[in-house]
Amino acid sequence: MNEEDWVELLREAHGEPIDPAHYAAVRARVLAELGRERRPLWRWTWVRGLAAAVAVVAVMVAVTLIPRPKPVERGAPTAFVGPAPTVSVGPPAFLVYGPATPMIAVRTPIPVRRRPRALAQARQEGRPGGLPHQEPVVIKLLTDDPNVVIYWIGA
Amino acid sequence: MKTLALEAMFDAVDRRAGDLASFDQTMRQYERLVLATALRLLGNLEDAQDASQEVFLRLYRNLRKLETEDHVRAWLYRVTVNVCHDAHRRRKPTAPVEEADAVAAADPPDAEDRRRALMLSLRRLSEKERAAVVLRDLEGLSTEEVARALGSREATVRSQISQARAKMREFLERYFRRRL
Repeated sequence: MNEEDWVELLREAHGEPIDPAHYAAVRARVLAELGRERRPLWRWTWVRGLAAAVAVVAVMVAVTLIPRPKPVERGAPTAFVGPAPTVSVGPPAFLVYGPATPMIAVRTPIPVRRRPRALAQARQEGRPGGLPHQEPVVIKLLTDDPNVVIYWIGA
Repeated sequence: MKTLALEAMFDAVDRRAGDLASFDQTMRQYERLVLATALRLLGNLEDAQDASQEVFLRLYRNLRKLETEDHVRAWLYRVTVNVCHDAHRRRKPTAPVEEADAVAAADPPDAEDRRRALMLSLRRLSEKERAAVVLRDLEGLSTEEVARALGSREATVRSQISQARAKMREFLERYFRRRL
């Protein structure tokens, strides 16, 4: 058997028909796969469109309904003008302030937003039979630094 | 030059609606080319069907890029070889090649014997040799077409075919000498 013979032999073997069922199986699988690929495409388009619409509506609602916070008006910083405290020669633990020159607070009025509860309490205090006016509690704290004195004022 | 059938096929794909029926006709036109080639390259029908499925899916996605029927055929051969190459890399190692001695019948080779001899001889080749000899000797492509399909030079293809034929001749002579 020479080369041409066996090549022809193999070609004959290769040319033998394959069962049509095998071709049909391949076609069916391909068409089914293509069908599957097309359906999700439409479904995802729907989902994406719906999500985009919901996002747009949410942004519009947020812009129109939620009030913007008003900018806080800030006054000028408070400056205290007064004589510097003098330190006595006595025991180091005591601070003696200078003569009775009161500390002057120069202050720009700051609009204070009072909470409704505080307003109600103030009204109640003004009425007859309301709560008596009480003096605020003042606590004076001395620190190691003689130039720093802390006042804590409580209602 | 586009054939009428191919133009009709492209038009159908462009329309997108109902194109699956048209593509079914396209598959019928090329199914033997793809499945038979894949069967010779992979050696078993199940893998060949998987490869054919992948090839036709790629064809569907790339059909509009292919201009003529000749382009479709060359493209199909090239993609079939590539898909079978990928399948080769993925699948588990196959069983050792069955020896020709295992065949014990003494009658002249019938169709089943020829098919068996073909499969066994192809399994003795390397992957590139097998692809070259399948396209050149079994599918009847020219050396130039084979080189284009395999992405090789013609000289390389000639060398691969020569080596493949030598191996197959040796195997087949032994195979049929035992038979007669």
